[in-house]
Amino acid sequence: MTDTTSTSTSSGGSGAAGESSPAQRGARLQTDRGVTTIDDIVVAKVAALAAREVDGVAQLGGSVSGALGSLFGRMRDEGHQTTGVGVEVGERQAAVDLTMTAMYPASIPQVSDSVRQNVIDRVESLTGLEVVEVNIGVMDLQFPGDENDEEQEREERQERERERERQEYLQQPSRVE
Amino acid sequence: MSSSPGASPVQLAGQVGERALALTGVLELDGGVLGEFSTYGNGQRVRGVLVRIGAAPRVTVRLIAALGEPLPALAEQLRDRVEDVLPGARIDVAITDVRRQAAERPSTGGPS
Repeated sequence: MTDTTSTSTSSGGSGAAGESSPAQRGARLQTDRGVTTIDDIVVAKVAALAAREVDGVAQLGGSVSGALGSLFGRMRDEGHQTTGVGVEVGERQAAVDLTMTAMYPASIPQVSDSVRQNVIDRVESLTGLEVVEVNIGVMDLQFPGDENDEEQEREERQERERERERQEYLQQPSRVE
Repeated sequence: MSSSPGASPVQLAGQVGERALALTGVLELDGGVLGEFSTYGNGQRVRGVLVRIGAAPRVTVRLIAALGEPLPALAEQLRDRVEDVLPGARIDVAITDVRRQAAERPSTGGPS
């Protein structure tokens, strides 16, 4: 179940009036005084956050990679992983490929349009790179019940974890009365 | 702390690093996994800052920025701050990562 939609936006979408064009913003990375370079991971993190902000995006990556990603993300204490996000970054431009799990019954074209727009807006405004392409692969659907279960399960797990730590702390022999 | 003409690269790098870290959007200087992006000298080294003096003076700063900070503007602020350390130098800025600023602070001085 893979629905891939892609668009090339040379203009960077409908820029708000009064804002500098992406080309000008890109130019700000190459100044007379020196060059600013942006690493891939920076673009990937910004794009991942922008995509996750959109309603109708259950998670990035498919359900399996999403689960693994959040597991590893948690292990590494990484708040904003870049699971499901690939980027190519040049001196002035960037392209983003991302895969996601959509929320049922959201309209996939609408969700992917919103994701694309949000990713373009964020990446362009924060990094100054012109986003020339955002390719989106919808790898899976999540149903409302699943999400609740998963979220609840995660919360319960964290709660148990905290409780256990509390108990361990209380049982430390150093606590004398 | 003005730049004396005879200052060594490592002294200049130290000044650049200090001024870079004073910017709120700059969380850390990034010397690379092995600390390979550093300026050495006098038994000390400055991670994340490369200073080359000579005919084409050049400063390179590698840094980890706060998430949400517009990066081209941050780089310009940095250039404004450090340009008089080594006048006429080209100042290249590499943003190697972004992190949430809030998530950085609690780890320091945790009671445990």
